[in-house]
Amino acid sequence: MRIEAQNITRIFGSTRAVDAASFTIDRPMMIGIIGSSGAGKSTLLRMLNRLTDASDGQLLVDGRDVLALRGGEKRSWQSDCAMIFQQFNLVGRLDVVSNVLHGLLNKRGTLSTLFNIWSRADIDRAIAILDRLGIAEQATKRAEALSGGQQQRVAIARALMQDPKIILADEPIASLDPMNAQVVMDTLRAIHDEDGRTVICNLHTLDTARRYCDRVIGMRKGRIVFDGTPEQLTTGVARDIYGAGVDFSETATSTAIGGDTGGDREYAEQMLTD
Amino acid sequence: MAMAEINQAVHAGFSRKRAFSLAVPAAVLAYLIYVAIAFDLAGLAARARWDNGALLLQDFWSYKTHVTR
Amino acid sequence: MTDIAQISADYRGIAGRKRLYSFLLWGIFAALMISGLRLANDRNAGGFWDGLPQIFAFPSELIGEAIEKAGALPGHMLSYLPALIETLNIAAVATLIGVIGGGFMALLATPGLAPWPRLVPLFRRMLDIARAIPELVIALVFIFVLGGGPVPATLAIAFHAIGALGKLFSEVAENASPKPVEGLESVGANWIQRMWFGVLQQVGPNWISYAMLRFEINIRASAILGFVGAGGIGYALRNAISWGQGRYDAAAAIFILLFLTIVTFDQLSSMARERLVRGNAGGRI
Ligand SMILES: Nc1ncnc2c1ncn2[C@@H]1O[C@H](COP(=O)(O)OP(=O)(O)OP(=O)(O)O)[C@@H](O)[C@H]1O
Ligand SMILES: [Mg+2]
Repeated sequence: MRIEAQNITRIFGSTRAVDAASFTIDRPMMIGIIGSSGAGKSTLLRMLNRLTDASDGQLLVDGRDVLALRGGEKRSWQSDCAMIFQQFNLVGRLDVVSNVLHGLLNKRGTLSTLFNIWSRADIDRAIAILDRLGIAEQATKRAEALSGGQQQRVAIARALMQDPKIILADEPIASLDPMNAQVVMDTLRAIHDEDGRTVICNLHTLDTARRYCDRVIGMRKGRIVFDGTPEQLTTGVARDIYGAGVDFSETATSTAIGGDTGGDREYAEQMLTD
Repeated sequence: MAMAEINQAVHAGFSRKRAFSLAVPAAVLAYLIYVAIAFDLAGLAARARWDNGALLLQDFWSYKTHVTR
Repeated sequence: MTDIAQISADYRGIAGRKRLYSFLLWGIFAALMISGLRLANDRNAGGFWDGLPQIFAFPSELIGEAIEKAGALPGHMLSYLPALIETLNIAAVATLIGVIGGGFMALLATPGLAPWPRLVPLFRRMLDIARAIPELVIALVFIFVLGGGPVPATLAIAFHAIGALGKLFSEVAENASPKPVEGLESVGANWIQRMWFGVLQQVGPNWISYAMLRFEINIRASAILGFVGAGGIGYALRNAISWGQGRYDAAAAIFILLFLTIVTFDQLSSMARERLVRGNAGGRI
């Protein structure tokens, strides 16, 4: 599958949240997007999934511009392009298996889904996916009763249920503790390695991007300012991406963890590097 | 818990859910049918005085009052 | 969260509405009784006003007669049961229509959830109008067109209930978390699926709670509308009183029946709501 982004732009009022972003993905890979807060990472990902409309540009997937799709065709693209969120975005009051089955909502009839009519095969597949992610034990619990890391794995299970070509993840580990963060990132990497799916992941720590991704895209003020391998991502390049001065330190690249959790972050870096 | 047990628990849960989500609309529908019979909905159309309705509507248009209640 | 204050204010508003309807119901009941007594008095002897001092004799007369005919009360109550059931059916169907119609309208009128964001003000306006017209006015129009009976009363109460519930439902839905809805949108779920799984799961307990309060109000409204000829127990009472003397025992039976019904349903409903709230610690009221 060939994915070609051409000058994708999103303008909110007077701010160009994403400014003419172009890149090409010609084979399945794991891509990390980095950049400081407000750089436009979330907006870019949301446009790819069509949660946010683009102001301009094209996203050619095997030659078809998915940014121009409307109605049912748009939803059909969304079902092929799974999204994982920082806050999991599950239906907390429903049980875990139901949440995983929601990955099929677009592919099954509206009426049967409303009446909870799922085939035995679908339910079995949902359980198998949960088992693969190591949370089958939680299958009958309410999603909101699970820990953050478990909920994020349910969200990944929902994404896998979609059997998507691409998985987008918007800061999937930003609200998780270091141990769960590692489990989730390992899972995403495994999904890429084993299933050959493309994974695009917004990340807020350079280390994570370097460690897990085949390719890193750096954004600054809506523009793509870096696109290369992790090896090419030197401290100097990172300084440019984050627009920091000479006092720039890599541990300051977090956008989600506030000041007094510095200890946590160090621990996270330790966990992720050893 | 073994996988077989989990599997069984999930399937049992879904059978329950499905039965419930079919039973509720069915009960509502049955109730509405009962009420339609109790209220004699079928006979209502015959009893309705549409001329009265037309008269009432005319009152909205003209100042001449037909309806005095 | 400010919505808690908002919603508890709504709650007090509904409780006030319920009291008003109770007051109206028993007030009209008393007025009918007195006019009935007066009618009987006129026929029996002298004028009502001449015998005004005797007014204090009426209650004793009433009670005396009721005791005298106490044996007949259960029989009367039994014979008015169908009328009572009709009153309850009117209230229940109207509430059902109100919940379904109000639920749809609420989702169409809630920014962030509405499928046609530009039409939100239009749907809000429609809800305002439905809420602003009192049941009695709508009922009189419907009775005029459809004749007496339960259907016009049901339609009238349902119309008003759509407006009242729609506004409350919309306020609850506005405070629902958008995250589940967004998650569902990202998998390509359509609007109905997003509302069903993403919104109704969240607002369900609150909506049901409001619907039950509305049912309590609607029972009163249904009984009141009976007095103007819309069927049910109110209609039975009017007939019992206005057809002359000696039917206070029937009126007493109706009074007891209606009173017990209202108390029973209020109790059941408040118990159910209590359970909903407790099983829903995050969801409040
Ligand atoms: N719905 C919106 N309305 C108006 N402006 C928006 C909206 N969404 C994003 N923006 C603006 O677009 C810019 C990019 O935001 P975006 O959320 O994409 O950044 P980000 O890189 O994901 O940042 P973070 O790391 O903090 O999540 C910001 O200036 C933001 O204020
Ligand atoms: Mg973001």
